[in-house]
Amino acid sequence: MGIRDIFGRNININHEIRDRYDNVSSGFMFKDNPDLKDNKHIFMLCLALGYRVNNRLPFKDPVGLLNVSSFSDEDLWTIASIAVDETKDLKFITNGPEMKKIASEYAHGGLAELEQLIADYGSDEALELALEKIARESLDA
Amino acid sequence: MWISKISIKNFRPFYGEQEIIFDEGSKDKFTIIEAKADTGKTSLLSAISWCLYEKDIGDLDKERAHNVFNLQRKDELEEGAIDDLKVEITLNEDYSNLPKYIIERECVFQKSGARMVPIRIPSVKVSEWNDSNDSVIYDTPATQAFCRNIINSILPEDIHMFFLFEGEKLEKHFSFNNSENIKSSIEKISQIEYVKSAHLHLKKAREKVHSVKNESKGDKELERNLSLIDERRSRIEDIEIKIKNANLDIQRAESRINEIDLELDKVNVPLLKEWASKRANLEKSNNELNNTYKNLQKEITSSLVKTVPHAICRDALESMLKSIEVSERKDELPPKIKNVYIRELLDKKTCICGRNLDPDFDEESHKACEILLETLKQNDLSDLSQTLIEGRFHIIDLLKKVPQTLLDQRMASLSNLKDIETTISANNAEIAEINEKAKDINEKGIKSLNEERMRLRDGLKVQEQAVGRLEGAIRKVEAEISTLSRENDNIAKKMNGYEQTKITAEFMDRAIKHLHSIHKDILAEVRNTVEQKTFESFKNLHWDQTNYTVFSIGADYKMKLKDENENEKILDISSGTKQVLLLSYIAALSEVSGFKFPIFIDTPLANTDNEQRMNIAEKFPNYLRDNQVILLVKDQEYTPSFREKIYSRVNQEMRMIKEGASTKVRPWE
Repeated sequence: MGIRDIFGRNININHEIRDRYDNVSSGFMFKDNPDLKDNKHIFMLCLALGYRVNNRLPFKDPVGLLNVSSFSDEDLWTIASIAVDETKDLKFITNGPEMKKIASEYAHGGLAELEQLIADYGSDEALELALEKIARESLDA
Repeated sequence: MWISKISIKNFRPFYGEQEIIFDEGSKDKFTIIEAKADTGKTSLLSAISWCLYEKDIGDLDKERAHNVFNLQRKDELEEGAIDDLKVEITLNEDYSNLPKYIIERECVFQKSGARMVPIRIPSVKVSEWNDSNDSVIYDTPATQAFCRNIINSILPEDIHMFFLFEGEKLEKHFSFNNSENIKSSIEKISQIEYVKSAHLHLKKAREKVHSVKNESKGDKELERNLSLIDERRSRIEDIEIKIKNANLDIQRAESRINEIDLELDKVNVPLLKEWASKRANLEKSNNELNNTYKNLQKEITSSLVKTVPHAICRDALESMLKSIEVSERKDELPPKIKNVYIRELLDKKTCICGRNLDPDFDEESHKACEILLETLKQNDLSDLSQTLIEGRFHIIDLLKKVPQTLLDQRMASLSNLKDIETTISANNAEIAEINEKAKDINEKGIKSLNEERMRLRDGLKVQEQAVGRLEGAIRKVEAEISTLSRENDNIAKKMNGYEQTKITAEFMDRAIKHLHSIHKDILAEVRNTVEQKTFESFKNLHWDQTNYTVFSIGADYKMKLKDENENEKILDISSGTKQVLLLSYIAALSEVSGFKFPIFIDTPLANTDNEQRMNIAEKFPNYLRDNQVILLVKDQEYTPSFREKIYSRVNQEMRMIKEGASTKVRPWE
């Protein structure tokens, strides 16, 4: 069984979260960039930012609005790594639904972080530099 | 759908009652109506348009519009005498399955002094025949609206100009420099009125819900935020208008620069010619470099957005890798042996090493069987080890790739951006040098053209920078809205009764967004189909030696025509080629609209010289195949050689003859 089979078809967020994703993706550095059209990029950014500040936030009315097929294998292994880190149980990677739940909740927590970064840095260049700084810090840590 | 008869009574030059009969053979052929200038060709189009929509075609001046009643008939009438003006169109009068219609519009006039004054508003009558050949007639005042509906179901009023049009005005109407009419024509045939009105309706409903949302707020901070959001939204709208205007200015300046370049190319000063061509090439190269720069910037952003999550989660990935390796070392993971093999060994009661696996054979066999049975129980985890092996490689690769992408590749790409910037600057310096040298050329007219060109170029730079700044400003305001909305969501969560209104408002926001994207998708689809059909038709019709490889209608609704070397030719083509391209465009519009109505073209080959006309004629029989096409041609257009070339497609020929103040349509003799 491959990692994709374990994850199934969809990852849950809800309509309110998707609206906030759309708000982010309709402007800023995501706008007019066909390569970043899919909301999964915002989900992954939010997931990482939520995980970074350890903000796991449950949400109401989950709906499978993100398609697993749009995630890369690297993305899925990153999600799995976070879930295993959270549960400290390697065998947890066979539990697709629970791994997705953990990821969605971290991404929900991280959405506020991303929105705050956008509010703080606004322009594309400044936002890119802020993200690059966070990423470099994580690599240097 | 085909027209079998047109009856006209007292309409403009048509005196008394006259009939134009189209026989069944004309359903998919050309019918030629030849006439001298000012005989009444356009009036025939006007008569059809008036009959269908009570609307005149074209932009006839007021005086002529007033003289809609035939002058000869008017002069014959006594003061106070009454007569009517009538146009009747018969559709599908044959034995096919198509429903037959007769549409008749009439207006009664009375002579008053030197004028004919309408004494009743024009009324329309529609007779419709069903499959059983029973007719229903709608002719009362109460059925006027219904008649309009029937007519619009045959050919909607807002697209009739793509079926009844004047060849002379095509170029003026669909100017390649102004994309507004091209956009409007594509919008019209897209029939997106319902989507548009649903969009409008939802917007109004949303305003209502939002006002309820505003009223129920009762929180000063929330109230303040809402008004700030509104203020910022209108600021974005203002900025968008400024961007649109700046882009229009840019478009106009670019077109003018192209025109100047063409003029300079014709100038007989070799040195200037060389400079102008070099300058144009450098500017072209800068445009391409700018595009490359933008694309590279996007690639760098994409790469960053895709890599940042993995970089931030590096600890989790490393910890996962460590766990896999530790488990492997400690043999915590079950072996990767499939159940099917273990069962086979147990069934055969012999191991691959030769050991007897009958549990009753001896103690050791018993133990071995127990171990295998235990492994069988665990074996659902063998998939886990397989997955983890796969994961191990992915994670090792990823951990290697992340710093490379984030540090090395990003640095390399940023340095590429710098290189492009340097090349653009060098090109700009060279352009400035050429401009300086060109200033010294004092040939009549050239100096002013050069100066105008430089002014336009400088203006372009300023406008482009302004657009960039304005786009940046929009993003900044968007960020502010995002923060305010978030603050409001937090306040709203603490308030009673607000939640439900908020859900409704958000649902409407989503629906509006969805409708907007449907609207966009439909337009893009129609635009692409029109583009494809225009090019197909154009390739069948054009004759010049250039191998045109690309025709496109961009998202900005600008037409582009490129040759095999990717050179843009749209502003460079001859008037004949232009006419053929526009005839192809209009044929595509009528086809994509989905309405099968006969096509009337007044002076189709206007704006072409004799040689071009002969070339067009070679392929013209292929134009609008399967359609009834009525060509209203000038006598000098319909020469014997032209006639000979298109004769294979012609079914009937008629001639419009002017006798005094009236015009008659007679069969060709």
